Amino acid sequence: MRNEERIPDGVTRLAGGYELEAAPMEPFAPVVMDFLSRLSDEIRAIPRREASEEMKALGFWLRRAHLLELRRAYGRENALGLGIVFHIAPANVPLLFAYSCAIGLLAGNACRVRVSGRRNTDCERLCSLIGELLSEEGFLFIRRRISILSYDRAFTDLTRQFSLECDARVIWGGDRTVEEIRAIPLRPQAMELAFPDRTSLCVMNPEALLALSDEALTNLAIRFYNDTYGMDQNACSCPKLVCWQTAEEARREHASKRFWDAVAEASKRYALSEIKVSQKYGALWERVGLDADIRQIRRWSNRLYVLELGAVSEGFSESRMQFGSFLEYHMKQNDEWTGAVSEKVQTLTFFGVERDCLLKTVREKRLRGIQRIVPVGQALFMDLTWDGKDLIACLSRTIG
Amino acid sequence: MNYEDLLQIGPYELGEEEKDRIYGELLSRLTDRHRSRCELYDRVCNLLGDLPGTTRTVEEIPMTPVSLFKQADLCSVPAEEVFKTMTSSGTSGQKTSKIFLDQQTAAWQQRTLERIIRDFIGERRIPMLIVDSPNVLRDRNLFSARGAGILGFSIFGTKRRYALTADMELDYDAVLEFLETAAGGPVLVFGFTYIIWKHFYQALAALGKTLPLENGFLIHGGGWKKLQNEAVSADVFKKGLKNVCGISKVRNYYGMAEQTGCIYMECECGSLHVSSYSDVRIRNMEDFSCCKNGTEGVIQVLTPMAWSYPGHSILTEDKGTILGVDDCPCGRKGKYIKITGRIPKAEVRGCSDTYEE
Repeated sequence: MRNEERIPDGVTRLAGGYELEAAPMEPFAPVVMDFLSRLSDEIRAIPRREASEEMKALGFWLRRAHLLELRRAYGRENALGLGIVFHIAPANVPLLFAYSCAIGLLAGNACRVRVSGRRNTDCERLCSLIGELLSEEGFLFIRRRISILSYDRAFTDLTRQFSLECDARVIWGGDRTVEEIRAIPLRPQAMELAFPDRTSLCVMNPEALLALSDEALTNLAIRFYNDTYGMDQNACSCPKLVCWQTAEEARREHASKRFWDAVAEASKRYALSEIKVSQKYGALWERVGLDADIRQIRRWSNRLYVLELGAVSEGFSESRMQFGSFLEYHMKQNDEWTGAVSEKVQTLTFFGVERDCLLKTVREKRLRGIQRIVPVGQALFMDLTWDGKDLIACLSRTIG
Repeated sequence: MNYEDLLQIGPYELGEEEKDRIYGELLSRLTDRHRSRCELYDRVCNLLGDLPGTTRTVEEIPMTPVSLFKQADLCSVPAEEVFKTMTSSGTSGQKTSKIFLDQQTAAWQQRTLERIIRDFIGERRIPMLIVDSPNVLRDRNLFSARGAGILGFSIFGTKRRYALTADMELDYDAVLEFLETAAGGPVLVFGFTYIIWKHFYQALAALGKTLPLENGFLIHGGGWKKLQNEAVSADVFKKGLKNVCGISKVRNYYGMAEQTGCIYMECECGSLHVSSYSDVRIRNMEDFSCCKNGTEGVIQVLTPMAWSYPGHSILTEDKGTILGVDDCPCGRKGKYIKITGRIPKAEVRGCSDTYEE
């Protein structure tokens, strides 16, 4: 153990070492795969009732079979990592730092990770699991490839120092965080990946919905719930707007009612606090009061609000739709949803629609937004292609 | 019946059943009035299913979220009839509420306050000590709730003296001289809870001096949030003041800039009383159903006084309970309540910026 490493005041080391080794490794190096899949085993050994949904999802993502799948899809010959990657993770998606770090490691880099001072129990627990693994003989040298730190965002000197040390910087967070960090220089050869504010939408087919059995409908509603309520509907990939494809009026209204009734049922498991209702109800008045484009409001107690739009526009991305509050639009043509797409739109989820058909529309209409098209239920899945970028390719170099 | 008639009724003599009937009617007519004069308000009410022209029960009157007064200009009178625009004293960086008052509403606010306070301090005007700096009124750019509170209460004073200097320092000698001219008779002391504690009580305690306020009646409002952070309870507050100035009548009130004048005064039994001029409901945030008496929830305040802006039914961000109705040992009729604090701010997930605290 190298406990003698000097760590600056105000910095908490949550896991790993402090000094990092800059020499890169090849992407998907066996020892990194071993380490991550062992971490997956440890996470999955946490008793079920102690593990949050996010923790379970991370354990699942890191399992060996999935890592091998990723290697098949993203592995490359004659490649090496960049060196040191500095990750700046947001406070309010507690385990995003772990995905970011794992991706950096898989690409062949040593990772310095800054997590927010507002850490939750998941974060603490994961860091202690990582710490225990790193003390095992076989993983000792990985201690020089992981450094998970926490320090106040006011310590810009440290962010400055880590920015000058790294070969790539990865910023997760809203526009303001990205702007703030971007003002801090990198070395000339270093690159940056930034993930600013984004929003997402969903396209559904009414007839396909009506064709569902009750059980399949419940299942769909739970997947939609996980995509949205799971993150307080506040993450970039949580849909705010649902666009229904064309159908006879009575049919599409029936489909909409059937769907939202099922979502309302699924939302009964949601931890709806008073502050969430207060903000959600305030946002409802603001949204409806300040814009004349809402035709109808439907409420299922305070668990679910659905606001029907009279027309779609790019402006939807600015609406504060949170905690189970949705915009809905019945399209007059099946590609009308494209009118809502600005460069700020990230994910398109779908049900009852062909993915290829949606992809074709994005290409033919030459849309500036939409980086992912995934079925309902996968909005929050982390993929190695994120915001349209191949993260392994971005964080490694091919020797030509 | 209109608000003018309501003001003829004593502040604590309206029975609940009669009040519900009067309020249902007055607030329904007022909702219709605001709907026909404030487009934004009408649009939301319409979509929330409010039926114009009908008599609603008090519970059915749409609730305007208090945050909306920060986000939008809510006004039901033509611009030329706006007599003054009041702002809430938001801390720096936050948006402030804007309340548009016409002559009528402003006058009603003043008379409402007067009717309520007179029930506690009597009909005579008495010398008044204002625990604040006179500067709070000089800055006319910002007609703040703090300034409005001071102006509103000033009508109860024969002579007025500010206790603090421009730098918020206690002007001990001047205050002592003022109290000596009052010669041990009744004195009204008014100020904001936090300012009284920080700049009056603590200043006196630090000086090791006392003031002769045995016959004083201290009224304070503005919220406990800052003092709760310093772990000062209502009890500690009262005891501390008794120690430094012998005052035993220390009364808190609850109220908000969005319904200025309609305050909820603390009685000698320690409960906050709902007057004839406003009403409260306690809402369960799961579905906005009304909580039973004794059950904690989020406070909704209602008053037919809000004539020039659609603030006659407001969902606040404060929590409280209804302790009882018509049976407070102090003898005042109507509901009496307890405020338990602000809705706790919880951490919200998601990757968007969470710069606000």
